[in-house]
Amino acid sequence: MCSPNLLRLFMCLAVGLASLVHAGEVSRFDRNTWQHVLGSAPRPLAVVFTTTDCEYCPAVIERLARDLRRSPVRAWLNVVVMDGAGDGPTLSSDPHFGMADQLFVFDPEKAVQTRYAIDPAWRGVTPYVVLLGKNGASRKFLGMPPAEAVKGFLSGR
Amino acid sequence: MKTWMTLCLFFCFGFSVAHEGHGVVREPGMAIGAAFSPAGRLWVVGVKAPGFLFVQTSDDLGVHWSVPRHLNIGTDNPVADGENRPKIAFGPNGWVVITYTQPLARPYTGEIRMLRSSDGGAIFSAPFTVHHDRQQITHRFESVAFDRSGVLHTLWIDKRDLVASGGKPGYRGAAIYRNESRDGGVTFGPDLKLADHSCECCRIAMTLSADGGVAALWRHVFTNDERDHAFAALGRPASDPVRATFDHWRLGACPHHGPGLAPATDGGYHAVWFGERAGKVSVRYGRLTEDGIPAGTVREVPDLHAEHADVVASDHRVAIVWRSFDGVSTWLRAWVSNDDGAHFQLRALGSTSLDNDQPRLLDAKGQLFALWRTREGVQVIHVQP
Repeated sequence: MCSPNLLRLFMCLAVGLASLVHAGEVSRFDRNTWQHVLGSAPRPLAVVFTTTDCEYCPAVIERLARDLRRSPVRAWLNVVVMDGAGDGPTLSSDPHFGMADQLFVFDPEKAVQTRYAIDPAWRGVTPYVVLLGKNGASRKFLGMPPAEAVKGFLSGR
Repeated sequence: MKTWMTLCLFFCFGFSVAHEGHGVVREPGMAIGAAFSPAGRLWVVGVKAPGFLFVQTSDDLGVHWSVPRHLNIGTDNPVADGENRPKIAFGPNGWVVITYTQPLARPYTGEIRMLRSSDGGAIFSAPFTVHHDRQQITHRFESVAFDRSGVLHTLWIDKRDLVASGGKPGYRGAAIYRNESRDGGVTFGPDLKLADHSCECCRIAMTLSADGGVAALWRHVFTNDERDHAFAALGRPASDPVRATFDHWRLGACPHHGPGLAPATDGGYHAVWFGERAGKVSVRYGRLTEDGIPAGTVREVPDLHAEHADVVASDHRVAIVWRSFDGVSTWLRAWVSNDDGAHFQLRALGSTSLDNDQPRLLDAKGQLFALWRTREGVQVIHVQP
């Protein structure tokens, strides 16, 4: 028989998890998030920075998602929608954004600072793709990375 | 018990605060359109909240602003992003038009919507769609201008030809379409294609041409995916657009940076654009002939982080503005010339650590002004060489 305190703890956990499930699973992204991704996120990890009006981006997300799915090595895909703040439910139901393991939106008040933290030379061209390899390598591309780069990223070269 | 309740609430809050939840509406962009009326009043148009299109006016160059006036746009939800902002233009006979892109249900689709006034902006019509094509496709990134005859020209990015091609790999980009209205937006002529193979996500620059017509400059997708710029003068007999820049920037992506265009005293134009040339990313300035052909030397603005530049000119005075983030603050900087762009001086016009719009330049009867909206308000800065 569970103690009352244990029951209360389970209730708290259940309510917390329920709020997570129903929160649309779209998280805010700023430079602290980027530091966390660089330091702690599992790799290999592909991060695609996009916008809701980037017509090139869905094809890039789709192709990367397909390459990662076919890889014998488990790899992750994060998508960051730079202009998607406040649009979580729509974004998470989008078929392309839905391919991401994790979906983020920029904190709009810190967008330019976040972009600068990722790459001071990047002026917002999308898709901006960062491949974070298991070996610690980090490569950045405008548009779809070349096939050789993706292959190397997945194989840990 | 209270401790457990507190822990429960804290737990729920902790999970929810970092997430985009249901019921939260999309935050509107900060981008505004602006223009001086024939009487010299400054007007801005923007979005305050989703579905809330407003205008504000100032009679003293931004020192004081009127209370924002909410325009009735029904269920429309205008886009107000940097490259695709609401616009306002003044013509003869008290004509005023406001335009914006209304997104449709499918991603990357939209309609160009317009409100018109025939009494100087006291009353605006309900919004209506400008173009005849009503497919649920891209009609976005519009620009509007009245020419000296009072003809209203509307240009936009359109994907009907890409759709008609069945999405064949050979069709690069989108198309630029246009139409004309000779009665201040009451009726419109047919949709006319100006060019195939435009870029899909960059603003279109328009300005008056020396012969009283209108000229346009836009980012184009040339062969080898080179995203340079194309020029067309709308008042002339139809001809193919002219290639106006030669950065040779090969890119399979969306630059989100459109050009700026202003008339020069010799009948040609001043142009500014963003791009990569020989591996170097920069905002560049160059001169174009009256036919849009590059003339003279292309120069980079002296700022490694420059983006989203605009240009305006009056007589021999030329001003270029851009914004630039240095890691801490965003700066509004200008290049100003009083000899038709032969020589420029660099100026710092302002800075902010908060969210901000792309800067704009306006000519008010020969006086040049920079407009810059930040979270602190709209700054109006007289730019003098």
